Amino acid sequence: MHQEEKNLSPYIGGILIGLLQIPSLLLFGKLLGLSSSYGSLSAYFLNIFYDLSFYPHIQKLLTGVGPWQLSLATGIVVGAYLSRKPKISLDIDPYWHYLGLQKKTVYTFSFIGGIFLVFGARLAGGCTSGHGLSGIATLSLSSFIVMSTMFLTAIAGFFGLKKIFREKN
Amino acid sequence: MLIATFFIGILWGGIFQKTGILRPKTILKQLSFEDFTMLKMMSAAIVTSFAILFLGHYFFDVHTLVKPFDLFPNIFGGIFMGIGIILTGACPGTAWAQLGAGYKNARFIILGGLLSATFYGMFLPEVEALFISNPQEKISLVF
Repeated sequence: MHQEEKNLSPYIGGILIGLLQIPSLLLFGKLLGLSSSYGSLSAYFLNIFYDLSFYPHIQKLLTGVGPWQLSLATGIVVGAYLSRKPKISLDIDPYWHYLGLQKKTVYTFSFIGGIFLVFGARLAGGCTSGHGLSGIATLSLSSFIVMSTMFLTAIAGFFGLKKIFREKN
Repeated sequence: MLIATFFIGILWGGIFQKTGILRPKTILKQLSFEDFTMLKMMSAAIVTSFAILFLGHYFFDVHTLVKPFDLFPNIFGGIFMGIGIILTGACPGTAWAQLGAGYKNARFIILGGLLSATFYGMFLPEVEALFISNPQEKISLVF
């Protein structure tokens, strides 16, 4: 059910993503990043129900970098949808089963993890694309700190998670 | 403008899909050093971005693109993102791609992310008091 073949070499894919910086710089004068897309989408949602002038930091995301990253994110959803292999229905990645996690556990983990992910990205001022790609390319000190703490935590934590769940089952 | 970025996003999502980087398996196996797709891809993308910035140095004031530096938010943000990556098998960007690719758990990642972003915006002064220490300077190692 899950096909293993890869169509595109990661080197080529990486170079192509790097080249996407050119239109991004020329059109918007900004490097690629995605973490503001969450804030922007929630700002648009809240804008329907509330007067956002109480929350200037949310209101700020209705203009400028927020909608720009949101349209990037929407493009990613559509792009991934269009290029997916038809007839394959994915519930969750089978690798989760290999790790010994049940579907419901993965859903719960995803929800909690999503909270951590975006909170961390907002706090750090960028995500794996904003800091990892664009930040490192401008040799920002902050990006080196964020990326090293992020991957160290993730590597150590995943080692622990694997140990706990693989041994339990 | 937004339509143009939408098309950039479509290309980006397509590359995410075709290289298989959006799969939780690829990301998690990088963390256990069994699959180096993520490292290869990020390195290639960083080197390309760096070359572009280097060439465009005269056209773009690169220093304005440098990320602001603040030690504690950077460290804690990195730690929280690390925890998030293990639990979801995604980064904020690949979560969108997973949603498009049809992984059902990606919906919960997005939902959690939106909730988190909302509360972050609402309680930003409190969060700032907890973590943010110095005025955010833009420090780059070269530019």
